[in-house]
Amino acid sequence: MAEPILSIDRLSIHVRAGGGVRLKIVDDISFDILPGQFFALIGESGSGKSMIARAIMRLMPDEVLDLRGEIRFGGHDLAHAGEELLRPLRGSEISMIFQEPMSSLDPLMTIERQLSEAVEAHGKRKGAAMRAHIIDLLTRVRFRNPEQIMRSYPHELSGGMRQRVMIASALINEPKLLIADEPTTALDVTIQAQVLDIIASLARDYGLAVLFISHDLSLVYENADEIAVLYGGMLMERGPARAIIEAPAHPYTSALLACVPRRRTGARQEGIEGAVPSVSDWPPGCRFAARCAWRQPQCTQHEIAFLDLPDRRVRCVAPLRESAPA
Amino acid sequence: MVRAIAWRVAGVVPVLFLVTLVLFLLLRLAPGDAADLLVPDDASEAEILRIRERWGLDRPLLEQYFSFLLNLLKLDLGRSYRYGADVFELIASRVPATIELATLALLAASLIAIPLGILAALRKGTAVDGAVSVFAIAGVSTPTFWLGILLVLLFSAELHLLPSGGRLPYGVQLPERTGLHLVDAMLAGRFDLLGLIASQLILPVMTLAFSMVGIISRITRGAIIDVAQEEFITTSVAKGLTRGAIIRHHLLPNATVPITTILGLELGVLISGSIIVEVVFSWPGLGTLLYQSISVRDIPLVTGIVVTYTTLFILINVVIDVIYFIIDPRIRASQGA
Repeated sequence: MAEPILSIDRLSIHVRAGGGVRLKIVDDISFDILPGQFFALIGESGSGKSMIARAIMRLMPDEVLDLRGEIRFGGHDLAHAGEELLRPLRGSEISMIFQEPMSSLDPLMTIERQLSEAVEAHGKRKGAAMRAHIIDLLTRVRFRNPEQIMRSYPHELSGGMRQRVMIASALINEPKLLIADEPTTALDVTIQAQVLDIIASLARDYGLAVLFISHDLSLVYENADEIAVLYGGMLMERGPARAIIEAPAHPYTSALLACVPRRRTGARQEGIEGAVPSVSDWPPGCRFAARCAWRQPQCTQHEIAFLDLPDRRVRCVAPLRESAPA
Repeated sequence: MVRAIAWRVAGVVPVLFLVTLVLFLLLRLAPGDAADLLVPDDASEAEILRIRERWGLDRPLLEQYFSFLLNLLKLDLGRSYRYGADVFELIASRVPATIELATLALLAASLIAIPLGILAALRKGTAVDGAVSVFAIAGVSTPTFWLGILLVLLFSAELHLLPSGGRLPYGVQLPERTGLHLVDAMLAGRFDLLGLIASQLILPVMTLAFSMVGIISRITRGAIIDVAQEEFITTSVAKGLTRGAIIRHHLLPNATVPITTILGLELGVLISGSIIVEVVFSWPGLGTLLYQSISVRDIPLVTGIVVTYTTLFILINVVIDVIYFIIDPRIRASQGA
């Protein structure tokens, strides 16, 4: 098996909340991403998934108090690295695209300047070669008129176009890992599919590993190799995408899949009963227990450890594949 | 863009119409008779009537107003009661002194306040930020007349370092071309005079500047902090840009729009707000002229000066709009550049 390109080992993140309270919003997370792998990190809002994404590039908001555990990339521990190590990696080895294409580009700068400054920051290309490279990338994100796009300002482009510019900007230095934090959430449904397809096919072309963060399992049906499901800052289930989607073992994963709209059958979409409890008052035991249809008395008595199944790990005392009604 | 500017300039017309109407009514409805001021205390009734007739004060108010408007179109603002001179020429001779003072004060304030605001924003929450805050509050809350007098007492009366007022020392001759003394001295090749002129400017400029440093530095600090929270700043960190490049290329340019707005507003406030400072430093500008003309009820002169202030204020706003066009492509687009 290949060496992982990114290895997250027992990562915990504490943040400062109002009134001097410390909250642990990411709790003891571990997973590996292999070179070229499309890794989907799935969770509802508040599950801590964006915080993990930002922790990898160390782009955390001021409220973050500390990172425990390790984020290993290229022989370094990014969780405890200094700026002088991080800056050359950012945008060069690891790139990131964000949820809001409307606000992630500088409104006062042309697209060309925003792309060329990403190249110049790492000094890989200059002058005409750089310009040709920018045109090539804009073509790869399927702009038919790259030169016109280069002259444009962000406000002249639609949300989908801006997100494609962001993808071009993220890939411009041929990184090894792309972190995509809900890159399609703010877009129209029709544009979502296009942007997703661009990310997936460019990842294949470049042999790029992708950490794709989403709340929507349906988005990663086709492209993900590996899925990790996050709930309340903890990993609930992790394993090969196909196995998890076809036969979820954790009741939460199963509930998430039930939420996916079935367009063809027109079946009514189910939500998950209840809401995510607030981070400050987690119940003892399984964090999903309060909303779980298969709850048993032992679920809330003690911490639930990972259970290793042949093809995956699941944090549940009674995984569905063994005990659920068919 | 030209069309947008033309619109802004055309906006002067209705504003001036309203301003002159209000001013005309207020000045004439105020108790007391302007004619009383034009005649000696022992003047006879007949003499007063003659004076009234001569200055048109006997005609109906509406008629007086319309003839004022007609004359305004010809840039004829009438004659000063007190000086007997043409109001337009009187004002024109004083405007450069006020503009020189106001622009230099704004320049000095910006040079101090903008770097302070940037520093405070980048060091948010530290002792540096706190010190800038205290300085800013001191600036805003110090009355200019008090600070002016204090500076005169210290630097002129006590230390004899700087002159206490006026634009030029007695006996110094300077050929006037623009009316801006620093410029005139350079045009005339009299570089030896620059130091003298500057020494006259320092105290009034500093007094005016100190009152603005507070607001400008606070706005700058706020603007920088707001921009720092924008997602595109995170993007630029994620691109691997250095901290210096992010500040120079993203943070500062995006903060210029709010900073330009406050500079424009402050310049407008300055042009009229310098009245007290001009009086304290016997600065022969519009402010001193207005102060004197109000105290003797010189109605044509007061009206003329207020019209001038209004026009200057609107022109400054036009300039600010042009600067927005240059800075922000979104504004260019919305105005049909």
